Amino acid sequence: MKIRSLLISLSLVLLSAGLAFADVAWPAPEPEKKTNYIIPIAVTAVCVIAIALIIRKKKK
Amino acid sequence: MMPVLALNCISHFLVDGVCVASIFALAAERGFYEAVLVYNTLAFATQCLVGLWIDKREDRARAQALSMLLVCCSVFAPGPVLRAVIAGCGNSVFHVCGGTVTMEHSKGKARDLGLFVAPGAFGVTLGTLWPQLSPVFSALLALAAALVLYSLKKYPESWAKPAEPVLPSIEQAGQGALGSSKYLPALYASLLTAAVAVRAVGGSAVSFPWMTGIGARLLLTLFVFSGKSLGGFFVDRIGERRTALISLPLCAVCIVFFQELAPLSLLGQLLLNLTMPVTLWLLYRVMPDSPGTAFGLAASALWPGTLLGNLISLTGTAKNALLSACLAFALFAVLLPSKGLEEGAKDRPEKLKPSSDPVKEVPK
Repeated sequence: MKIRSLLISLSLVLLSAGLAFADVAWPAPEPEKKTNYIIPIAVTAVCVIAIALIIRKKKK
Repeated sequence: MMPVLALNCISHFLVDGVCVASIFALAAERGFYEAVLVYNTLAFATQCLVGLWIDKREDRARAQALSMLLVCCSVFAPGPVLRAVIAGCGNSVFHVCGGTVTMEHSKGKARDLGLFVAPGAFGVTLGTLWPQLSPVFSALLALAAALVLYSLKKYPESWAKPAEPVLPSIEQAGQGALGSSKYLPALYASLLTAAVAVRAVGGSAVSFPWMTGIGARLLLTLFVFSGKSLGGFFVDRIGERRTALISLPLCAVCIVFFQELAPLSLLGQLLLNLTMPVTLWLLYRVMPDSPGTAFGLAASALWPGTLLGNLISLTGTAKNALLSACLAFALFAVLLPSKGLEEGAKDRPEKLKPSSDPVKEVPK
């Protein structure tokens, strides 16, 4: 079961890395000002998924 | 099993073709670049989580067919970003389901896995070059989805999860070169995932000056396709370690020193892609009771690696040094788990060794 938790953590790390690099590659709306909505959305999504997995694990 | 593999290979080609064509059909519209990023993030980065979910389910073939129908719908969505969201979600589920079914019915051979992953390269290239073909691809994909559903109803045993795993369980892989530890499988999985990401960094940092025009693009795709297809056969014939030892150093020489020579850089691409089924198969060997997670981890690692490779803008010696370092790390990260698994297999009791035909051993 601990190995599964490690695999879940590894999956979340990969997902976060994918989102973070996608954010870096995201085009700026204006040359001098880059408004980022992706980082907060990504962090929220990762947290929601992590919490859902933890709750599911505890229920078992 | 052969018709299922053939159906999955054709479906893989069509899914990638429809996804890319439906987004590239709106290349002139505002938000196209963002749509490409959203699509790739959803299609690749989420596969690890989809894998964790699919491993808990029995009806992966049905999920595969539904994901194919979802991808078909992406053609009708208004705007590139919405298309990207629909296509990305469908693509992610399809790849994990298709990969899981293929690995579970592989009878312990890597050949099927190589054949399954290869056609996607042609789907992506054709979808990029001729996005106007998206309705044709979509209609064919709907037909393939109908065939999957029909086959699932008519021959459910061809798609069913085997009663016994094809390879020994994850605990059996926890023995090897670094001694015996229950955390070894997780270490091996992390190393192999890192190998995929780092190899993607090297693969996307490389540029070929000779690649101009449709013919060159199609030729490169043919070599990528051949590399992925042959990788599984090499693994079955000479093993993961020897395949990596032959392909990666030769690939480094071809790609680092002969980027301007088309024949040698094409050979380099073939050799680079030869190692793709190697890492996928090793991941499956490390966690044979979680095939979806194994497939998903490898796919998820591709996206951050590819993005990082595209963000790095090096030239000359610095670029060559980066390429060499990436391929050297990929080689190390493949050799350690494969050696560990080989030694673990030697110590394993005879009854736990992979069976040659697990289907025959399914209890009635």
